[in-house]
Amino acid sequence: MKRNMNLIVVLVMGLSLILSACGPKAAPVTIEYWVINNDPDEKLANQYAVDFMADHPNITVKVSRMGENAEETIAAAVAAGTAPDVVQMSPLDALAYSKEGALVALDSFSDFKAAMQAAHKPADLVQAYQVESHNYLIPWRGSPILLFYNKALFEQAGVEPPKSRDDFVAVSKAIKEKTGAFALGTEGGGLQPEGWHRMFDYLELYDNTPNKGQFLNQDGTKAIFNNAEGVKTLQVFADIHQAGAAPTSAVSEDLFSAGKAAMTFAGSWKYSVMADVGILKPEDVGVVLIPTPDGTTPSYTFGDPRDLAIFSQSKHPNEAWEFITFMLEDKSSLALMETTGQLPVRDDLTSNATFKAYFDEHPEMTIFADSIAYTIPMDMSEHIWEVLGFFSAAFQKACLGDATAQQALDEAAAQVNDILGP
Amino acid sequence: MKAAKRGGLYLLLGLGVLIAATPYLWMISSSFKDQVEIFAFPPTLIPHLPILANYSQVMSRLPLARIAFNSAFVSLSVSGLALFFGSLAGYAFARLKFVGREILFALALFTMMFPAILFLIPRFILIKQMGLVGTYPGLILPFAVSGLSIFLFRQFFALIPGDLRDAAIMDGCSELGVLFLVMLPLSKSVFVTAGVFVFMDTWNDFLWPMVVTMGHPELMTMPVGLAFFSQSYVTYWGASMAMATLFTVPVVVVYLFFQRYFVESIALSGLKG
Amino acid sequence: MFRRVRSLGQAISQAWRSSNKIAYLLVLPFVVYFIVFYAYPALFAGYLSFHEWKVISPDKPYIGTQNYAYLLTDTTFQRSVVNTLYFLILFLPSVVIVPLSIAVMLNQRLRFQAFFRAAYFLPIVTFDVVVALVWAWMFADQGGLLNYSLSLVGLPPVRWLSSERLAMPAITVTTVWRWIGYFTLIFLAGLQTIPRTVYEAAMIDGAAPVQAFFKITLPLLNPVIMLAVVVATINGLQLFTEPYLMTGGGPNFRTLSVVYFIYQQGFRYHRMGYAAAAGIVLFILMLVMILVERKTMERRFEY
Repeated sequence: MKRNMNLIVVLVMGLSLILSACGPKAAPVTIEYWVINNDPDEKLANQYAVDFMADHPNITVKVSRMGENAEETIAAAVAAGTAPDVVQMSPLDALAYSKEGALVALDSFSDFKAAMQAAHKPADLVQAYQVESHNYLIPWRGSPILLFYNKALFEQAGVEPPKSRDDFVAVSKAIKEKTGAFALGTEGGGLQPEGWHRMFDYLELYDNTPNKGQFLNQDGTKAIFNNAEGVKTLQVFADIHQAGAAPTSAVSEDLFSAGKAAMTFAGSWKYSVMADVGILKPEDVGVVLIPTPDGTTPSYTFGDPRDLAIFSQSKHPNEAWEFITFMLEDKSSLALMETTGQLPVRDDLTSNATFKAYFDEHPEMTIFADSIAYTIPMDMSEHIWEVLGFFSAAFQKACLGDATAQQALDEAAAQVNDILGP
Repeated sequence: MKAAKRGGLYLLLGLGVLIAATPYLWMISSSFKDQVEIFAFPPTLIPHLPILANYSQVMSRLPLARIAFNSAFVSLSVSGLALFFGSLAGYAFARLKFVGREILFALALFTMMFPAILFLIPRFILIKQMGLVGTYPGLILPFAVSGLSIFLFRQFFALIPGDLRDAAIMDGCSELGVLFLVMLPLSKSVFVTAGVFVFMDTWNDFLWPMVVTMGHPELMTMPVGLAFFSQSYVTYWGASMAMATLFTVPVVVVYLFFQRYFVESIALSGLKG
Repeated sequence: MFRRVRSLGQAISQAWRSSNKIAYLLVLPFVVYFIVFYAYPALFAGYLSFHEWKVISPDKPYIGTQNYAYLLTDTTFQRSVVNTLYFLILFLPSVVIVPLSIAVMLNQRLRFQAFFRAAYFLPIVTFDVVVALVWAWMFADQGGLLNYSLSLVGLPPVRWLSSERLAMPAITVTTVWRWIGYFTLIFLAGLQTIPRTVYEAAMIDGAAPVQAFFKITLPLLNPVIMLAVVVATINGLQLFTEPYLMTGGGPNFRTLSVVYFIYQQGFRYHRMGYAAAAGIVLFILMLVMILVERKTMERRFEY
């Protein structure tokens, strides 16, 4: 009897030892998440952190906000080894960071495919994001860029929202003549040569040409933006600027929100910006699709996406991935829309019941949601910033009338081919 | 005749004041305007309908007291160290003979000449290795010695006639005593001039504090906080103006207080006597 | 030959013996700082200039003098050097003459001294962002304050910041405005070290004020002017903030300064090695300029 008792005690002790070793690892972990510079994004990130930490008591999420000079901050951090775990990144940086091994290949996580499907990420977009057959960034959120217009100014000029390229120029001239206001107020603020400004004027029209918004050829070895359609698209802007319908130097004021410009290319975030300035109400503006060369649909555009990535320096990639998958869930997507007024990159926005209430309450968002299927990503090239730099200088030159569109683009193409070349 | 000349002088100076001061005054005025009025054309110097919303936005959004303390502490520390070390080194370069004097002074000048932007990453790596990321020393130490400060002090001390030092030594003063008891007090105006340079440089510095305090918001300095209002999709100009006003008005007041030393410290003519 | 080495050794030990050892104590903080925070980063930059570094990856493959060779043929870099020198030619005289004039005026016995001094201090305190905002507005093509003033007197608007020829001069005006306060301070301090007795003596000798200024004040101010020119050169060659905030380097790269070029190459295009090489070139350019300045100015104001 005694021997049996001993055996049972040993067995019980042995079992409890084994069971405790197999239990969930409760070592506390802190992950850092860097968000881009704006209030709604920070608010959302903090919300996510709180909700996530409630479900994962051993993981602490620390949210930090980057300044406008995100490039320097991230570059210095990566070089010194103080980079965060999760970061919001611009797709323009995608290829450079991916190729240099600075990011974790997210498809190495076993549930990657499942997570992409559960989050209803458009399959071809995920495919397009691949670099050397790995996914380093996930398209997370953004807003298709559409054409906002000021109803009052349009009425005053007696014009309708433009559908074709020629319409666009004609309408702009009419508005300038009949109302004296600017026809186009760009999101960058006037005519400036920094590359990213083109993502909010030229790119949208350019997406609707046979080049489909690509500045470089398939292998990224040659510039293709100086072809006939590219030139015609630039001509549109040159005509508008030279007619005085758009400012020709830098402008700090948000002309559209102040009611001083009749149109702007912007995303759904424009509504909250307008609310901040306080002059235009949502019912004072209308939103239409990007003008196409001949006025027909479908109309494509740029999605202005923000991507999520994990730095390879991260000491806790698994926890970081858990946080990312949390951010892709339905309820997280809903919070995203409610807090930032932007859209998660999903193809089930209008079909998913979770979001129905939101779209009922915000009907103006429907056109944006429908356009997600028509967004085109930018060139995947590690030189894209520099390419845009040369292109933008040419854009400015043509708009100022210092060169013809063809001349300016040819010169820029030569400069681009120079740096792309062997 | 003289009155006309005097009048012309005041006119010229007044014009200069207008050019120098108007942007600053417009900034203060704009801190009380809404976005629309800030960009009113022609611009107004007195707000039509003054609002306090910008100030409340700044105060609710950022821990102002903390930021003010950080900026003041860092800038004053850097200035204090740079002025102290600069005056010492400047005196040595100007008045003492020692091997390597010319070379070391040339190196001091070099520190001003290298494009500072290239220092960002190596210095940050250095600070990280020292374990000073997100700490006050990390913000202060890379600027604790200023080539400009050394240069200004050296130029000043070079102008002082040697008899002064000789007289003091004959009176029984030690070398260091001469420095601390005679020379430094004389150089008050250089302290102010160099001080202004170094202080304002650190006060306005954005990039280094941004990089070093990333992830450590309790150390945020004022330019980093200010950048929060230049956001991705919108710039809150009113808030930016309000914050800029809050942080620069005290500096102006302090300057007004210190610049009296200019008037009082002149008496170099006392040297001849 | 051995005798020469010996006498050299003797000279050095003599110099060492007559050295004031206290001096070493006084310059010690500077030396330590220099080694840690200056020499290391500067040498690192020099080292980088012979390598390729994409910043976000630790690889730094050695490429010899390729960066420098490429710089020689890079038209954008060449343009940035030309731009910066153009800026300097406009900036240097302005930033010496204007503040000097103001300092001379302020040095008189005037009422409202404190008020004037405070006013000229304000550009120093005004933030970069505000400066850029106000001056970009001043020079704006449409709705700009300058063009508005021109229209009031019936003149047509001018393209300032969007003109290849006028953009840099416009930036110069902004930069001079920003620096007025600092240089006025320096010149005021310098002027106030000149005792009144000197002027009084000149007056008794029958000199007119203007004569007195050029024959007495200026030469006496020579070290201060020298200082101002050197500081202005160093800061002028490092122009970055104004073009960055006001023109984005345009139009057509006409306001791209060398430091702006370095910033773009290093932080935007991730070519740190190349940026470092450009930085070294800038440094050498600055050294040469300052040497030339010292030589010329010492000769001219020999007293």
